[in-house]
Amino acid sequence: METPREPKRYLDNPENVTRLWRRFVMACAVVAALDLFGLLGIVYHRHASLFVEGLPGFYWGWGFVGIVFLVFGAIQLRRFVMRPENYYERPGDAD
Amino acid sequence: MPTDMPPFLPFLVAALLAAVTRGRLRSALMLATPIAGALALTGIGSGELLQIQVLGYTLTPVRVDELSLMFGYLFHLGAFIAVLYALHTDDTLQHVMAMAYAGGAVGAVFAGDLITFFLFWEVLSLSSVFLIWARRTPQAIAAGFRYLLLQIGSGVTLLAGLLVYVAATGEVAMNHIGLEAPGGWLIILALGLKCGFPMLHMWLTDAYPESTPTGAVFLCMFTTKCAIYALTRSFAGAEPLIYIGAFMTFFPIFFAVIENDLRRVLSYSMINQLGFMVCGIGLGSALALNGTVSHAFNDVLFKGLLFMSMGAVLTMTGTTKASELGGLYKTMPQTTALCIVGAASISAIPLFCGFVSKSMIMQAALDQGHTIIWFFLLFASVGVLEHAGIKIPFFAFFAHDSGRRPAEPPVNMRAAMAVAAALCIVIGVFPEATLYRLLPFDASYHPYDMTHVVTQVQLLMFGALAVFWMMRTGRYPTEERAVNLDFDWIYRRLLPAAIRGGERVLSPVWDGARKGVVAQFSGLVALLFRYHGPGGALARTWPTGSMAIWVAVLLAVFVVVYYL
Amino acid sequence: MAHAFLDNLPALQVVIPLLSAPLCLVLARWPRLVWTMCTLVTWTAFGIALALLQTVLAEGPVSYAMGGWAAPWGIEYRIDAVNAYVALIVTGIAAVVLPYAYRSVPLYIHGERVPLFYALLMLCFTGLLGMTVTGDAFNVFVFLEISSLSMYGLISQGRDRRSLTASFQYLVMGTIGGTFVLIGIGFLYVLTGTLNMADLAARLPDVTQVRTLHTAFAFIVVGIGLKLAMFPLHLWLPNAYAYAPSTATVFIASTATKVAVYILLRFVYTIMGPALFSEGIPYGQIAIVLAVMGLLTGSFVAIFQQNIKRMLAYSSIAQIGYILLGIGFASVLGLQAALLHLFNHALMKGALFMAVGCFVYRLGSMSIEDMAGVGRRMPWTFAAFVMGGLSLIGVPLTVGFVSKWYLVLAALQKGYWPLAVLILIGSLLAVVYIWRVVETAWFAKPSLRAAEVREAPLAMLIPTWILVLANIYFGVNTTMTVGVADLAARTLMESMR
Repeated sequence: METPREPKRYLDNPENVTRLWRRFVMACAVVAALDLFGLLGIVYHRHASLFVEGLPGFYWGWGFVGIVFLVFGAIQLRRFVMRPENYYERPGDAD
Repeated sequence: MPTDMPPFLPFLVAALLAAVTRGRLRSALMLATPIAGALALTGIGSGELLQIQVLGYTLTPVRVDELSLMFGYLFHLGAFIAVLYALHTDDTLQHVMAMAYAGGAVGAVFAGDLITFFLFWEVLSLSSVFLIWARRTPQAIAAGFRYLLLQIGSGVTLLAGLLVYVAATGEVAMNHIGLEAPGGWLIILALGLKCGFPMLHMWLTDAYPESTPTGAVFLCMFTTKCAIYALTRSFAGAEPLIYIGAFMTFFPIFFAVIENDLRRVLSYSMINQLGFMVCGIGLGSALALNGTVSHAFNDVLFKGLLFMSMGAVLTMTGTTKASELGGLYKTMPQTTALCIVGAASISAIPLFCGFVSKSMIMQAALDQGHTIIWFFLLFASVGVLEHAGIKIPFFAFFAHDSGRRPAEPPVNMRAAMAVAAALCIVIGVFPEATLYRLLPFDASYHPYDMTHVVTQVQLLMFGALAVFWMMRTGRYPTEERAVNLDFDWIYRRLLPAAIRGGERVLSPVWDGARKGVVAQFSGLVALLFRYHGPGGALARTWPTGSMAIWVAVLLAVFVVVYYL
Repeated sequence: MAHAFLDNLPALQVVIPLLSAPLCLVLARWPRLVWTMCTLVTWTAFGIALALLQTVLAEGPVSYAMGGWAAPWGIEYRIDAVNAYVALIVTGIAAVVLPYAYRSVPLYIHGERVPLFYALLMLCFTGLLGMTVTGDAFNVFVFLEISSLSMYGLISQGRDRRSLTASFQYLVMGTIGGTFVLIGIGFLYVLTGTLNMADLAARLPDVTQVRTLHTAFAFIVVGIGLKLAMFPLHLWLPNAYAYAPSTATVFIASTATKVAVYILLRFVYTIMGPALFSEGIPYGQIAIVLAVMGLLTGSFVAIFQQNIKRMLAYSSIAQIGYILLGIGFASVLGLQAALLHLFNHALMKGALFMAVGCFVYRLGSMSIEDMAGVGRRMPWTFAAFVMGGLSLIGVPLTVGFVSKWYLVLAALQKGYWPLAVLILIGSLLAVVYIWRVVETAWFAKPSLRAAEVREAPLAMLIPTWILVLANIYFGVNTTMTVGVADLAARTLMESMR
């Protein structure tokens, strides 16, 4: 399918993808660390309406756990609702 | 510009003209319509601009206030983008219906009374269904009928509700109604159906993905936003809406994760976004309502942009199934970039427009003490990132290479996407100079505060981290060529099966009953025919003498009656 | 000059059409000129009727003494909201029918007889307008005879020889009716010594010979009942409508019965009402019973008709039932509904008969079977027929809906909810007979006759569509009709007190 003349792209090389992934993880770590500055009142002053909201790590923790919960929840949902692609096109026999 | 021209008029005229013109002339005409309409809006007066008396009720076909004006501008903007996007198609049916559809939406938000609103509500249903049928596949035709059925159901419910309401209160003006008002529940049910209340949402995820590539862009802009407008006007502060809205943000994201058709993913995402707005309406404070209408505004832009990018993919490859796409960035870099802007906006990344509107609703939830609701909304925000922010661009343009090498879409499609993307960024960077000036309610809000930005970035980056981590470790569900059951299953499978089952059981009884009824009815008709048929006593041409006898008889009856 | 014109408007309303009738004969050598003149006359009459209605609405009733002889000795023309409204209907329909006649009349009448037809039409027009504007009871009879005699002539002009029988039957029945009215008026004159309506109304309550008064009432109601085709006095109507030339059918169907209804209202309410109603005679109930029978019979017979003009004629009998129903309620709302339906029925039946006239013009047949597939060949005519049919059924946004709405309201106000249900059943029956035509004309395979036809000429289509659009316009903008009908109904009810 691929034409031989097509140029090799950056993302086609798995090593580059891994490199990007590592950089992204590092960036996340930096962003998470900002909580410490907020706590100490350096760079910016952190304010919160709720107690838990003010805890360091609340937001990034919620983001990570939320997605994991979502995806596992969706996998469970699949067991109930997934049907073959032509499900509605076969009238008659109910499953 | 005449300032008291009804704003819906240009669109309806353009719909007629689009039917008889072709080529460049039609293109120019249709592009000019929303521009001219928007210019006319800048000079329009305020208050009840047009009133007519019908059957003793004062109807107000045009009523202008800040709320209707904001939606008016929004729909003109949306119509411009969508028209530009659809310009290359040579399908008169779609163009005509799209203009009528936009006209219906504009008419609905400027309707000052419930009866006018109802009429435009029906225009929305009847014109939009053609944008689905215009795909002209058997699936689209069937989905269009199911869509029409539910839309008409919404119209009938609205009519019933407004009849009860008008009969009980004598009031036809469209203002705050509330749930306590007679007929209030019926009206909210009708509006709720069009904005995808849980268990009434299935038409949206069923029909939108079946529409034409360009039709979906129109569809995603108008119907649901009209419903949001009407809820804002008539049901602000209705508490059940908070919980309904929160649930709407919650359940579709699970479906979106496992859905294979990317336009259906967007449809689920749409219900999720509408959930934020419905929740804001339920909260009912000035800040929440501002959040609702500005989120509606932004949703037209970024959801339109995402539907446009998927429409481009559909146009160039013929499919939007995630399992059959991937690697398109190689030959569609511009579309990829524009899609990512839309994805960033819907995920509410700072400096993109979703960020400046969604947070208003969440802040209002916190301010009013709805902590649990706030947790739900926060969870849903991460969910948006997963399915709309990452899944859509990743599976379409990156992921495993599908080997497809489509060209970039036509230039008008790219231009439309570029306009939407530019607006997403401009509103995201300068909200106070753009979007916030249009807000109808009195509340100040500053999105760019350090804590807010930092926490939002943390939330989103770790959400993304989780997604990529699960993908790299194989925990993420693979793309399956499959459909997922939703509530439309009830009338697509359960109901027909039940009817077939019922038929088997009841058919002997039914046959007997039918024969009996038919026999009785034919007997009745025969009897009627005997006297009323052409040769019957009541239809014959009588001799003049017997006519005269009738005169004498009647005279005698009169005289006798009077003498008694 | 202009002042003199304005002062004499009530007289001119009748005199101009009256003079135009002999002129038709004088100018008979130039048929086109005759047509032009008649058209201009009807338009002028329409303008006068509009001006009169304006004046009445602005300044109250207008009284005009013929020849300067003051009432009650001279003949008085007295115009209030009720008859100004009816005159508007009559002249309005005439103003649309005349342009339609240009192409339609030559189909039935040839050569030098065309001017005669117009002369009859103008006489009929004069008679109807005269009945409407006059304030003198005897004058009503005179104009009734003028309109009736000319109508017999008009009906006999049909192509089918059956039109002669129809005309003759109508002649006999109409004469009986006219005589009855004359006898009734004679009784009234004997009782009071006056013929002026206002004067009669003032004197009748003091009359002691109540039996003579009752007899007069019976004669007048039966006599007028004949003219307005009240069940069971309707038997002359179907043939008269069916076999008359299309132009005459449109004109007579939309105006003659309306004027008869007006005369009934005038005699029952304004003249004899104050004297009779103190006695508690159930005249309203009698009217309702007859109305219901007419409504059901007319509708059922219409369903089984094979001849489309007869079908519409029976439908007219049913619609007259609606009008009588409103009158029978004897309330302001009921009268308002009746008056509204007077106007609205003229619009819808006018549009329907015009559309049918177009079909007949091209097809040369009135049979529904022959209309198979003709809708596809004559889409504009067919669309006009469908719109008129929708209006007849009473679909929202058409005038039919407005009348039905007020009629149902009036029934509910009186607590007669079975009648409200009956009104809706009547609409369903109308759906059946209109649908029969639609199904045949649009969905059936074209008949040989239908396959060759073309769309009707524009000169006939445009007047048809003017009436169709009026059906929609007055169905949406009801300010004028509802307002005037309300005022007229109040005027009539006031005289009862």
